[in-house]
Amino acid sequence: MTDNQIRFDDGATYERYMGIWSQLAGETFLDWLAPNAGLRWLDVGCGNGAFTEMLVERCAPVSVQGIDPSEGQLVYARTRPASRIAQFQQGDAMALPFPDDAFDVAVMPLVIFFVPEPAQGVAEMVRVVSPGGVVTAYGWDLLGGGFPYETLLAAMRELGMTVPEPPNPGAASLDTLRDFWVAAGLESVETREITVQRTFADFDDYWTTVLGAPSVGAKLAAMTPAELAHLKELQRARLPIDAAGQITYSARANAVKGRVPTTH
Amino acid sequence: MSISPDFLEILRCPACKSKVELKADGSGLKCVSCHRVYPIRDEIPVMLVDEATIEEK
Repeated sequence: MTDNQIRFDDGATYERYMGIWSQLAGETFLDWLAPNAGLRWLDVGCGNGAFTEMLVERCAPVSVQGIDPSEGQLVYARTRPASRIAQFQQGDAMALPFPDDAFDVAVMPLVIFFVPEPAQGVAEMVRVVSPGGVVTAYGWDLLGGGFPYETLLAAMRELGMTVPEPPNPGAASLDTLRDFWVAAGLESVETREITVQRTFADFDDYWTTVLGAPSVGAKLAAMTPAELAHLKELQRARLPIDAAGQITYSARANAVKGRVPTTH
Repeated sequence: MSISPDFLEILRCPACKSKVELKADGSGLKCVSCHRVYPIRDEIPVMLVDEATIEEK
């Protein structure tokens, strides 16, 4: 494992850094998906359970299985109220521990760029979803500048720092998502952009949130005070800070959905 | 140990997709076909092929 690999082992810190953004994107995503109640859901890459919780709250699932490779994230997920319905286990998106046709919906929430071989992950979701069921995903448009902390990453790059990247940063581009879904044999494939907005109370709120990031937090902690001050100023200059000191900005994700053919 | 029979019913070996059974001592889930044993840690099944051990009969 290299220093630039992104791992998520601390659920609570991750919640503040990314969970709030995920929640916003997830709500818009579910409005678009508009699923029926009473379905059997699979949440692939459920992480700390932020999206799983939303599923249980909003979609009245009959069951939810959540899988994720990170034990630390799952331990946090299991403390959520969703765990009265949802069950969690450690698992690999490319080798799902489920039988064929076991679910009505499989979803990868903000995950597809972390899957080493996304096409294999999509094929596995198609396998475990029954004919007529839905395979769906949404992910930050990393290459299109849609990541919630793009300003931070841009400043780090400017200072010559290596920015941690998932294995497939382009996997959630709109055309790439569509291509994966069509190539997997899914039908009625649709895509859409999801733009979400978040407000930080002030720059310190933003900065302490960023320092807790699982991906870049360690890199920031390793910088000298002078380097860190420079990085801070680069962002202070570029973030949209309003008269009240609040910072409000947007992030963008892309979403895709398709149906498993009834003849598969 | 809080693994319910319903839950076991939906779990499969990620390597060969066969059924898994709870070991008598509750320490893991064993594939009925390829005999891989997946550990259970903090009540969470670790269904990762890399974490499995192969246990003969």
